[in-house]
Amino acid sequence: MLAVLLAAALLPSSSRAQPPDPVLDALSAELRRSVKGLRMAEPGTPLYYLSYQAVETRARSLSAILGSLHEESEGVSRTLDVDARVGSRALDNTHQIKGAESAGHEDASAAGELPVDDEPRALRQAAWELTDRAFKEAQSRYTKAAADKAVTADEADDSADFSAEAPQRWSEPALPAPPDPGPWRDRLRRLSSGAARYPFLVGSNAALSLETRRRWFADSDGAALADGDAVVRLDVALTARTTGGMELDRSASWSEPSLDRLPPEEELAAVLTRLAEELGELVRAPDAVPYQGPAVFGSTAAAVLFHEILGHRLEGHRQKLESEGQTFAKKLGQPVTAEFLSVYDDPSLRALGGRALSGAYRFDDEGQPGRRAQLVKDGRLTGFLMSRAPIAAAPRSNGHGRRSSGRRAVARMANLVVEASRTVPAKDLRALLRAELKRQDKPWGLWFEDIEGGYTTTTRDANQAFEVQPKLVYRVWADGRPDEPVHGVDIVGTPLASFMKIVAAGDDLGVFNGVCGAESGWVPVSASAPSLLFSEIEVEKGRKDAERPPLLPAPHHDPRVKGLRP
Amino acid sequence: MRAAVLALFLASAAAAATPPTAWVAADPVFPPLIAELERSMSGLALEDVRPYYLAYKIVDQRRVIVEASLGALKTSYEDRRRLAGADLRVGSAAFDNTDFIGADGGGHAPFTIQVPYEDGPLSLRHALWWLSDAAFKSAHQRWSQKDAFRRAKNRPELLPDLTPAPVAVVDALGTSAALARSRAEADVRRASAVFAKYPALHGGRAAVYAWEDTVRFADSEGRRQRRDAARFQVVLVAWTQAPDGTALSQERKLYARGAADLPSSEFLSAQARELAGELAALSAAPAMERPYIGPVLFEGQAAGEFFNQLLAHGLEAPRELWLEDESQRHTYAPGPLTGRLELRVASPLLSAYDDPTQAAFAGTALNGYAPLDDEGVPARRVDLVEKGILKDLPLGRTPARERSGSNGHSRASLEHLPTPRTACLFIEAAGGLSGPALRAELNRRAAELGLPFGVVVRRLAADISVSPGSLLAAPLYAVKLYPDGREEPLRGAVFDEVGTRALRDVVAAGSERRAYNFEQGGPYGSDDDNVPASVVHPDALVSELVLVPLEREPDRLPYLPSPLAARK
Repeated sequence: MLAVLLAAALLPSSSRAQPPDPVLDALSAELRRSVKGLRMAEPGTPLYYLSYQAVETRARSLSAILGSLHEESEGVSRTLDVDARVGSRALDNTHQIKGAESAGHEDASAAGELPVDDEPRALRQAAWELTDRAFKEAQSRYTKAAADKAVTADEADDSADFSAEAPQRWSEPALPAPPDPGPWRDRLRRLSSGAARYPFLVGSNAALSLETRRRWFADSDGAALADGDAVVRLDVALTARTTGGMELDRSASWSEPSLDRLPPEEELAAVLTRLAEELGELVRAPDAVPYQGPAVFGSTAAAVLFHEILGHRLEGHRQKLESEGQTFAKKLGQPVTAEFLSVYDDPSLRALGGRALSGAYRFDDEGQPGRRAQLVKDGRLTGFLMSRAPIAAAPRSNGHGRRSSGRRAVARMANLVVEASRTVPAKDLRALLRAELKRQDKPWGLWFEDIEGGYTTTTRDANQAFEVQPKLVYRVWADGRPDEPVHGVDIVGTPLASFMKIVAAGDDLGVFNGVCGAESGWVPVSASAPSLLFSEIEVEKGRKDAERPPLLPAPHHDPRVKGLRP
Repeated sequence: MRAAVLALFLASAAAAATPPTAWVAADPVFPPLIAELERSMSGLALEDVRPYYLAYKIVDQRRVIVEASLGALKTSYEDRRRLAGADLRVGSAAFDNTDFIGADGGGHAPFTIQVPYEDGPLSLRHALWWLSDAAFKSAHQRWSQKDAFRRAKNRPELLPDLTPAPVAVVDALGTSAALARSRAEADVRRASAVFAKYPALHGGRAAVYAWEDTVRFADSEGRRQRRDAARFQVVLVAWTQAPDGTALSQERKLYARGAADLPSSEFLSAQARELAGELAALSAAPAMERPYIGPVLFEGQAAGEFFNQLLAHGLEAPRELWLEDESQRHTYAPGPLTGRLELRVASPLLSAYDDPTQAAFAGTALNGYAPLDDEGVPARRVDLVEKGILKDLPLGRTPARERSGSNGHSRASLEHLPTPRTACLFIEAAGGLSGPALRAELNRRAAELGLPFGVVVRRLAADISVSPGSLLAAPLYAVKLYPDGREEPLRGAVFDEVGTRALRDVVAAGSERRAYNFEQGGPYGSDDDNVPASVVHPDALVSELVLVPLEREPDRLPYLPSPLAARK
């Protein structure tokens, strides 16, 4: 089959001379054989597109607790994901199934392990088995999808199931395997031993993980990619338990392309000390009470908030699925947030404000170049994150099709950036908050310093509610007395309403690097934003665990125990 | 070869605590472990309830996973970690928090946690502090639940939960060499490359798994033990589809207790060739169409699994548990033979004993060698069956109705509470016949019943879940044996209506015995409570069994020929 290449590509296809690559060569050969043999194997279910994505991961990990090494591992493995499309671009096996046959998201791809030795016969055998399975599953689902479409009500958006895009060719040399952590063993021992000083800590962990990935991509359009990345992550976490049974934790993480880019030990130790002290304050802090009123989100907290409550809702495929909320499907051009805010997502951005961004890549998991997507401009909705699954408002991919092995790619975030065209000095935000409190006649407001992404409901069945988990929250008093930490705060509310209540932005920038989980699996992402003042946020008391705190003091804080003073 | 130093002190549990020996004090793990054990025993208390027994088990583990497919390496992974488990009891030995399943399904597991693998008194004690706290709160809650249940049902407690046992202090630390990952990589590449020579196969894999474990055990009664518990497994597996679309696979699992004892590359390649040949023969054979009701001869691995699935599993977990929800009685049942002491459980030709102190049989190392069980009690030989009559049971510190007193047979994986089960089961048969004589006897009996052939089963699956009407798993490799000696592979057959009766229907056995090493599944149908085990056994002829065709929709064959077949 000759793929129909759209001549009107918006960007020229990337191309680099490709040296021989045994994995790409073997997979491409098997792909060509498969397309030739399967295309018209069953006339009622023609194969019109086939892609292979192989990912090799070389990983090392190391962790320490309270001064002793906890676990160490090293390994290499490869996965292969096969995507087969049966039918035509207008209607294929990925089409949603709405009626009685609907079984929720069918997000699985045919995936399996691939040899790490570059032995062509073994590589091709693995690809062959998966391709056969993928083709049979695609045929079966296509038949169901076509039947379902015929018997159910017309869909609101009847755009195609797959966009036409220019195939990309690219090759980079392989990156070196993760090195032995070397001096980091001692460093992790030292960093994790500081926690021993604090009697209220029940857990502490310092973990280092090094990963070098290599990716090969080939498809029936003629794409051929060989690229990769390397990432080093350091995570530290401390846990405590209050007398009331609530578990509290403080954590920090760093993500860099190599070990030598991690901060020096003194800086890490200072962060750990700060986390422990914050946790100590939180343990003694009062429980939260329900609150409705103004609040400030510190820069990294604001970034996480935008990721959770805006970013996910702008993933292209959600605008089309009958089962989703379609929150923004028809809102292009309308205000969705304050007019001084703009939001974009750019996979091609490697760093911001001196920080490396976790979500950077050149080509997405559908082989498309990652492009900047302007989502919000001056407060109005201007675009969506797009994979090769078109929607009425956006027929083309902007290189945001992402997945982890075993799942089908869907549009996901990469590096989300919130910009303000009008800012105030960040140090003035506290005063502005106090002013707003006085205006609303409230004695205190909240300052969210750190939050963690949480569950977001986007389907129609449940209320349009979002929950993020605040990790460090302060009560700010209108009368100027010192801030107090509070714990057990959960934010609730409806997404649309809260976006419109941002009244000021600071001139600072916070970058959050992490991983994001959704129906296509876990992918590395970043989110960046300035600090933001909301005129109204609603919080409720958090869920309380029923666990008692430990019955005995920790051994190194038990006066009866000798010889364990930290 | 390992150099094992064994220093065994036995004292009655009622005596004062055994004085610590030098190696305990010098061990990097025991001093902080014992200190935290004593602090937990003396300090933990809730509403006047305190622990009366506490045991810690620490497993140091290096895991290696190496896999290759068709001559190409697929996975190469290793890690180091340390795991800790706590078995904490509240109440008293007469009535404690164990041997009880609550209505929520919980209650039969110890607490485990991963602890730093590196020695460091602070981090180990910190982890054990956390672990003991969780274990105590759970034990307290379970015990209260069990006590409330007892009062509500007004049941008198007949059996204690913990009986006295010898307090052993044992140093059995070995110095076995670690598995070199590169050597394992070479072995699996070579062995799996054999499969690439068979174009009809869809795939073939060789894998080496190592759990280089060192186990330490200490409890509040004074037991102090450390031992080498390394185990290694090699797996060969190949798969294909028969012309009618039925998925077929064959596997071999081989075990060793030392890296030096792993099978040679040549041996593995020979096994791979044999396996590929079996698959080819099965694929060419027609699927079973009509049931077979007649004599069945179990040879080799199939005979080993026959005795494991019917006799060993029949004698496991003899004690009845307290069940808050009666509908769970089916799941948490003792082995079906445990209630038949002094009754016939097998053919009068058969006797059996279990002896975990045996390290080898006729030059083959025994997987089930376990001189100390997982309650820290030294194992001894137990004569289970005498000429078909059940005389005794494997026991731990929890008694059965008619037998009490641990014989060191209580074992489990780290996440499960130890339960009595066999370790090295030795089957002895009177009047053993040679191989040809056994087959002749099979054919004679078949002819007597008017059947044109007898069935020989050479490989039996380990997973009995595929045969719901049967206590025996499905045959993986079986043949029809004709009177003229001709063999035809038989595929697509499963056992039906098989119960423990099959042991009583053994009418002849082989004169030669072989050692069968395997991973024994846990009681109560548990699929993650495997322990290494062995059966030393002869081949066995059963007078009558039922085999029926397996009802299953075959998969469609692949659209394209495999690259193995397509390449010429």
